[in-house]
Amino acid sequence: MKPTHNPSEFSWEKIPKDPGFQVPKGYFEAMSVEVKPWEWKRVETEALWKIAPTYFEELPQVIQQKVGFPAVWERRIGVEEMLSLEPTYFEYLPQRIQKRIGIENENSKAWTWNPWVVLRWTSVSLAAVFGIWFYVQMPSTVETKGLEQLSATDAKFYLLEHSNDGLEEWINEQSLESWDMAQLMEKQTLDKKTIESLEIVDVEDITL
Amino acid sequence: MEDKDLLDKFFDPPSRNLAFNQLVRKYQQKTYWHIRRMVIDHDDADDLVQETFIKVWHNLHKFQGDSSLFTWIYRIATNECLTFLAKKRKRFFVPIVDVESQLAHKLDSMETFSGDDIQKKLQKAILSLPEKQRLVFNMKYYDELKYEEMSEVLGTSIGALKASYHLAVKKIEEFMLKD
Repeated sequence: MKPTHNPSEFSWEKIPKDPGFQVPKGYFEAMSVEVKPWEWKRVETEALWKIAPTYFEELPQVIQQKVGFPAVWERRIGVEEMLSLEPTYFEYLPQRIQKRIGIENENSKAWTWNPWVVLRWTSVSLAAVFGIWFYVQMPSTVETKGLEQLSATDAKFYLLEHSNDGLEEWINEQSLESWDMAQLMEKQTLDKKTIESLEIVDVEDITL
Repeated sequence: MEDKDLLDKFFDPPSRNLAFNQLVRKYQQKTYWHIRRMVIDHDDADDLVQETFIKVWHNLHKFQGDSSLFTWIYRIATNECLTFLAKKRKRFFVPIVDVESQLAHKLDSMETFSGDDIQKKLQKAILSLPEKQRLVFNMKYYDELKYEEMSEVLGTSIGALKASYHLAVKKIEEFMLKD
């Protein structure tokens, strides 16, 4: 049974220096046999061979014969041709190579469904649309309704966007509930013209 | 075989292939384990080892001998790891899940992990470190490299490496003492 870890008893001496990872049986031995960089060199311009220099050798014999091994090395056959010779060949590739080629295809041409990519672009698009809407819409809202009709957060954004430089730092120090126009006036960071342009009649009474 | 002999053989065309095979045999395990500890997954480590040795093959003629052959290979492997992790990070533009958390999660479901609870927790603690600190810790703790060698690989001063290792150890101890 594997020992369980008790946090209060932690000491470096009790931890084996082995990280605990395994490698498939015979992996290092096989790697030594597979090292043929003089063959990698001749295929260096082809993306597929670059991705997995030994992949062809890992195909079952029957597939190798069908696509013409070893002539394939000389002809530098590509993915498209391989598929036309043997449509199912991709399925015969080891998982590791399928994964690499899959990623490569996704990047180059074939778009595959990836929820992260969708989420990424949806959020970027929404943020862009909201940003544009906010920038265009907010001044007219303020003009027609007055600043007091806005939520505290929107009003803060508006003021940051349309008033003096240097205001941002001060506003950020205040909590949204506590700051109001009167305080802004006292700080004299918001110029009077900006406030007048907001058509706020009684500045002193407005608390955002 | 000494590195010098390996290099002499490599630069002699008739024995070039043989010398390279010997070089790979000599350094494959160290290289693999260095990469594996950074990327966790065996298949990814396998690919990166191949990429590393392809680069060694193509660039060995440029090797000046300013550092040892091992630290030179180690530097290539380190760069491969960092590039790989950076690419992975780019794929997750929205940082809901960061790469390190993903790798930590992977540890729980990985068939090729045979360690006990404490080994797994240590790996998770290491994954919680910033990338460079993780590298420094692995190189010092597992590979027992000297600070001088680490400095050659990472291009960082020895003082900074010592501080980085010290911080990493403190953070890991804190992590390990948590329930």
